[in-house]
This record gives sequence, C-alpha cells and structure tokens, in this order.
Amino acid sequence: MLTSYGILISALVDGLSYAMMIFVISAGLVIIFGLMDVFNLAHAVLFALGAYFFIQIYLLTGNYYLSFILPVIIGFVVGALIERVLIKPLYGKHVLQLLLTMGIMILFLQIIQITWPAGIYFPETDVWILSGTINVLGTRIRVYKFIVILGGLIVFTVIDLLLSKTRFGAMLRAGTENRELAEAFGINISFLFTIAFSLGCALAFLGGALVAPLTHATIELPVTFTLLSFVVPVVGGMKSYRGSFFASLLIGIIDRLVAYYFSWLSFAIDLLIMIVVLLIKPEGLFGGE
Amino acid sequence: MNISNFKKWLESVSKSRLTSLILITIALVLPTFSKQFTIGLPILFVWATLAISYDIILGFCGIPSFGHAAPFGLGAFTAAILLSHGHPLVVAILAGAFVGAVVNASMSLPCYRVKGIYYAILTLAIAEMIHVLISNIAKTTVAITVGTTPELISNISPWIFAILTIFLWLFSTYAYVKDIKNTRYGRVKTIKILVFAAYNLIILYGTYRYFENVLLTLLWRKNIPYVELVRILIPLNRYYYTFMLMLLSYIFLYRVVRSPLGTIFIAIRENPERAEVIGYNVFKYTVLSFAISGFVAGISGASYMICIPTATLEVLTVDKTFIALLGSVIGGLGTLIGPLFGGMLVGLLRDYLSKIVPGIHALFPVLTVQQLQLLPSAILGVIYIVIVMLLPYGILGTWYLKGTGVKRKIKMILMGRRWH
Amino acid sequence: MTHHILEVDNVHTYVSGYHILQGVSFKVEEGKITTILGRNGVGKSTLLKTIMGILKPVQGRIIFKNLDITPLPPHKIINMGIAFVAAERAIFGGLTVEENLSIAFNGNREEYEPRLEKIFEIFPDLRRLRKLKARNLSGGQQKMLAIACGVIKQPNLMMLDEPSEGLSPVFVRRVMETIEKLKEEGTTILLVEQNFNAVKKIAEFCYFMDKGQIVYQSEIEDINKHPEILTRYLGVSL
Repeated sequence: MLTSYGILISALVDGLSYAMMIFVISAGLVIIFGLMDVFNLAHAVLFALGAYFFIQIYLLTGNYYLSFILPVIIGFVVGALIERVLIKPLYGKHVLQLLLTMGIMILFLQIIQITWPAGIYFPETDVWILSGTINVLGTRIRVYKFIVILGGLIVFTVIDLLLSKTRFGAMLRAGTENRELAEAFGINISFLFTIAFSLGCALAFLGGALVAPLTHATIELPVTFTLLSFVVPVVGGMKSYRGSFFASLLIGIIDRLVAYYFSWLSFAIDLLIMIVVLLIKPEGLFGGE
Repeated sequence: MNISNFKKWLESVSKSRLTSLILITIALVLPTFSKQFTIGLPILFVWATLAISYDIILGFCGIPSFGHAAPFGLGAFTAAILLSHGHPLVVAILAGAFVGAVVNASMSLPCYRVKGIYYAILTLAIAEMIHVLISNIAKTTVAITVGTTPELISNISPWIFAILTIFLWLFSTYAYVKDIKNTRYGRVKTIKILVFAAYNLIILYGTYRYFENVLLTLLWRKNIPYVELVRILIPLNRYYYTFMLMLLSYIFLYRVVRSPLGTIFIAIRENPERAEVIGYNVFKYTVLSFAISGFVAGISGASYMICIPTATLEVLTVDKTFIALLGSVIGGLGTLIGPLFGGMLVGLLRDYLSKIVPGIHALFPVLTVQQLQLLPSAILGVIYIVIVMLLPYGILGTWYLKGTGVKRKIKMILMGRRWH
Repeated sequence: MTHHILEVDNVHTYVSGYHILQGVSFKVEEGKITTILGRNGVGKSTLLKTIMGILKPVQGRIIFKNLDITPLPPHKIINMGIAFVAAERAIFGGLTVEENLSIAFNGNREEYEPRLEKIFEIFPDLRRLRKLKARNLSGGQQKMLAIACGVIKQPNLMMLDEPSEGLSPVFVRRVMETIEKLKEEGTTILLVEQNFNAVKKIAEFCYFMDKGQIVYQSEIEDINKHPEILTRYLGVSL
C-alpha cells in the first residue's frame, strides 16, 4: 500500500517538475507573442541551448552559480541580436517573421548537433542537492526535481511581480494591449520590443540552465519541448503568462501520469488536450481578455 | 475533332508553350548524357512535386501549414505497402495520392476555428504527433521494403519515352520554325536561330547516345544477363516515372490555378473576409485546396518510393515540411513554376553540400565527418533566412514583381532600341 | 508677431492604399485653441496620427517648434512636447488609473509625485479611483483619465481627437472647461471635432476639412456672424 502511494507521489513530483520546465519556456514565448505578435518557433531550441551551455560551463568550471548566470547573459545578448538584426526589419509582416523563426529554429538545431553530436551529460556530483535522492514513502526521488519546481515557482512569481508592480511591466502590458496607443503615450515601442525579446530569450536560456542537471542536454530536449511549447500557449491562451502557468500544470501532470501507465500515448494525450481546448474555447483557457 | 480543329489547337499550344516544350524534350533526353543525371535528378523531381503541392496552400491560399510532412509521409507509406504486396505502380500512386488528400484535408478542418499562426502551430503539432504515434505504437523500427517493382524493370517504357521524345521534338521544331519566321527583329532572329541549332544538336546527340546505350542493347543483344539489363533499365525508368509524375502534377495544378477555383484561392489569400461576404464558403474552399495539395503531396510521396527502396519513419519528419517550405519560398510563393525549380534547387543544395563535406573535412579536420554531415542543413537554414529577409517573394517572384526594369533593358538590347 | 508652434505643410498620407490626406496645410498658433472641423471620414484622425508620427506621410513636412519632425519616430515627437488624446480606446483598460498615469508621465523621477498631485487637484475623481482598473471606469471618467494622461506630460501642444464623442452634455462641458484651463496655463490646444456645438464656446480659430484637404479657415467670430459657413462645410446648421 505504502509503496503505491510512493509511486503516486513520485509521479506527481515528476509531473510538477515537468510542468515547471514547460512553463519556463512558454512564459517567455507568450510574453514575446503578446507584445510583438511574433511567435518564436525557435524558443524551445534556445531553451535547449541554455542547457547545453550550462553543462558545458559546469564541466569547465565546476561552479554551479557561474554555469547558471552565464547562459542567462548569453541568452539576453543572443535575443537582442536576433531581434535587432532579423526580426525588426520584418516588422508588420507576420508570416515572414514566422517563417524566419522557423529558419532560426532549424539553423540552431543543426548547430547544436554539429557542436555536440552526442549530447553532453551532467556529471555525478557530491552535492546532495544536485545529484542526490530523497526517500519519500518508500520511493527514491531526485532532490533536484524539487529545485526545479521551486525554480519554476520563483520564475512565475518574479514575472508576476515584474509585470504587475513595476513601471516597465506596466509598459509591457500597455504595449500588449494596444501598441499604437502605447506609441501615442510616448513609449519607445521599438526599444521595448528589443528588451522584451531579449528577456524572453534570457528566460529560455535560464530555463535550460535550470533543468540541465535533471534532463541532461541531448537532441531530445529541443525536439520534445518544441512541440510542448506550442501546445501550452494554445491551451492557456496565446498571450497570457498566467494561462501558461496553469496550462503547464495541467499538461505537465497529465502527461507524466499518462507516461507512467500508457507510455505509447504520451505525446498524443497532449495533442488531445489541445484539440479539446481548441474546440471548446479556441482562444485558450485564459485567452481573450 | 477534325483536322482543322486539331491544327488550330496545335497552333495555339505551340505559340505559348514553346519554351516549355523545348525544356521538356531536353529533359527527356538528359538521362543519356550522363549517369549523374539519371541517378541524381529523380529525387529532385520528387522534391519539386512536393514543393508545388505546398505552393497551393501557402502561395495561393496564403495559409501557413507546417504539417506537410504528413500527407507526403503517409502517401509514401501507402504506396510502399501496396508496392511491397505486388500491386501495380499506378494503383500505388493513386492510393498514395488519395491518402495524402484525405490526410491533408483532415488537417485543414481546424481552420474553421483557428486561424493564422495558431493554425500553423497546430499543423506542426499534428504532423509530429502522427510521427511519434506511429513510432510509439510500432515496437520496432518501422521499415517497409518495396522490393523490385515490375514497372521499374519494364523494357517497354524506354520505347514509349523514345517515341514521346521524338514526337515532342518534331512538334517543338515545327513551332520553333514558325516562330522564327514570324520574328521581325534581326538580332532576335539570329539569337533564336542559334538557340534552335543548339537545341537540335542536344536532341540529336541525346538520341544518338540513347540509341547506342539503351535501344541497341535492348534490340540486338538477346541473352543479356539480368543484372546488366536491370542496371540500364531501373535508373532510366526511375527517371522517367518521377519526371512524368512531376510534369503531370504540375500540369494538373497549373490547370487548377488558372481556373475559377484558383481565383477563389487567391481571393482567400488576399482578403478572406471579403471572399466570405461575396458568398464563397471560405472554409469549404480551404479544405478543397488542402485536399488538392494533399493529393499531389501523396503523389510525391509515392514518387519517393520509386527512388528509395525502403520506407522508414524519416518520411514523416519535419525535414520534409522544411523542403517543401524552403523550396516554395526560394522559388517564389504563388508562382507555381518557382517552387518547381525551388524544390529542385533545395534538393540539389542538400545533395551538393553533402558531397563537399569530405572536402571541408580535409580542410578543417577539427570537426568529424559526422558533424560535418549536418553542415548542409545548417547552410540551407542560413540561405533560407537570407531569402526570407531579402527576397521575400522568392527568386522568381521577385523577378515577376520587380523585374520589369531589367526585362525592359534586355528587350532594348535585343531589339536595338526600337522598342520601348 | 504670431508664433506658430505647429506647421503642417502639404502633407499626403496613404492608409491601406487609400489616399486619405491629399495635401493638408495649416498652422497652429501658439497659446490658442485651434479646431479642425469635419464630417466622418474626411481624415481628421489620420491627420493627427501623421503629426504624431504613427503614420508617415509620403509627401510634405510637419514642423514643430521650428524643427522638422516628419522623419522622427513617435516617441521622440511626443517627448518633444506633444500630447495626444485619442477618440476611442484612449486609455489602457487593463492597467489601473495610476498605472496609466505613470506610463504617460515622461519626466524625471522626482517630478512624478508633485505632478501626480497636481493631476488629482485638477481631476479629483481620479484620486478616488486611482487603484481601479481603467476599464471599470465610466465613459466620462475614462475620457477624463485620457486627458489627465495628456496633462501629466505638461505638453506644449495638446491634441485631442473628438473629445466630446460619446459623452453626456454635462461631461462635455467639464471637458471643455478643463481644456480652457489648460490653455490659460499656456498649453496650445489642437482640437479635432465633428460636433461644432461642443467646441463653439472655446474655439478661437477654425479649420474646415473635407475629402482630405483643408477647405476653409476662419476666426470663430466670422462663423458666428456667418453661420452658413457651417452648413456649407459641415452639412449642419447651428
């Protein structure tokens, strides 16, 4: 009896940590899309890139904090470059921007495969938080999964505070609601776009760095999460980060529970949820304010 | 149809289709020039067929679908299954086309509720889901081996194509001579005569080689070892079948696009609300366009099985969607002929870039050959991005749109400034 | 010597392929209330958007404070001293009253509190409603907020697009009184309206617009003396 509770809890922890992973990717995606109407198809690949960088830097320096901070900075810079050089010139041409982000996605995927053809794995460490396990009701659960869950919650809180309590957040929300009016109010929309995109990419890299000790960095990472990063905004609402949070929870937990019992159904269930939501409420559960 | 009507029809076709006729005839003769052509071109024809099928939805209807791998892959699988069980090629192709049409049309159903980018994402997800689902359900690696298709070793088809080539050559010569007689400007006339001479040289040379390599072998040598026969016939047949499939698909789509149906598609691309208001059921026509597109995509999938002996899950990967997308965009969305060549160009680039990998490896031994295998796709990605940013209408599209200045200059040079 | 704070010179603007502004030229005198009157669809909103830089003219110039602002991006133009109050959807419904004001504000951090106080003195209702999301305000209150967002910038030129639209007569009067107060403090006002009755008490100079061009201009006194002008250019009578 006790062991089955243990397995359930393990599955739940799995689901929650998976949900937080999905959330961190979707949050950046949704904020960018909400403000700029650019759906960054490459977002999940950037997330994976963050994981690759994290492990690579950790292998070189052994310093967790450095390995965590550097990818975030790199992500910000990469995002700014992409936005300035590639996306801004196509302002207003949404189909082209979409095609462009697809090109970036493919390109970065190839670069990842060229640079790390076999993927890189996070090494076993002596640090209990990173590599150890904890015994819960008879099942062993990786401690780091709780860190991921905690990380996801922190990210959600920080985004929430940023958007609702700061002037910058108010400007982002204003620009998302009515871009033209924001310009009329004197907000430098062009600069706001660049900053928002850069932050979104930095967030993606941060997410990757966060989950790397758990998932390692292989080609599975961008592939799996690319699809999930599409499903979540559709379910939660394409422009709502709160929607992403709850949609991630929904999809993450259901996905992991299904994976335990009906593994062949695993991606199909996510798609099923997406189709159901599309039929009932096409703008997403939290969409269409 | 009596003789005078037939003559009139010949006249009208010859005037407007001269260039196409010449190109087609040359294409039919090409395989004799070099084994490279015979082996390398069929797969390019497959990609061309795939790309033009994609142009219908993105170029003409303006609907971005990222799930094009689905009708291609499932069409390929259908054809493969039928062929491996010994069914005729024609049946396999039609079945693949039908499956492609049904799959693609089903994928277009969400268009009722979901539009634009949301729809694009959905199609990507659906296509990947099909891929993953099949991969998960089948416990082992999925591979359907086609075996030797009887049609591929048919020794009748080279004759049929020989006759076709001769007929087309005669027809194009007749039309060309008429055209030269009607040309007014001396400079243009000279150029045309030169081109005509070159054209005939090519055809004659090709015919000579064809005779020597293929027909003589088939006619005179009675006890040819099976292996040698097959070595000649299979690549040749592959070439012709894939070429004809591409040509027929193109003609089919061309007729669709020039018909009132095609105009409706364009109306949907330009202003769907207005089309709806005028009285067209946009949703119905959207599904129809997807069905047509899926039909041709299914054909290209079956065509793929003519070139490749085994169907694996890789026919369902996003990679195929990307070829269709890249080919259409580079060629020029909405031009149909652009994506035809765009698809071939993309296939060619992939092939060529893969070939120079060992060369690059010699120069930069830092990266392994496996790593360098991926360089072509990366470079292709860069080219794609550059095209999207600089030539959003594709090569042909930009030419159509902005080429008037250049065309005018060329005309002025050719006609000696008497035309303006 | 009259000083013109804004000069629009032969401006042509296209919107979605349509030639909306077909050579608009006029001047706005500093310190006065200038109105542009015209029926629906003549291009009044397009004109304001062009001045602000949200739309770019294909021909012509816009000169503000003796500087050619035509090529500048909107945020630079606004920060040179122009405020704009839109006709509909003039504020951000998803933001609170205070948030709307804070993003409209464009000065140094120290000046924010005192200016906010001043706003609440002019618009006491807003102080009461400051924490409310703007979409929960009534139509008239939203208009007041929109104007407040303009005032908080302490602009040299304030442009209002159909300020009387959708308001009850009481509110219209309040809005016009507020605008007059602003003018008295030195702000130049440019009003765009189709309802002459709403602005007749405060307008000083009137331009009439039709089919994308300025077709008539006069001081307010002339219109009062010759009301047939209104019939001819606006299609209404007093």
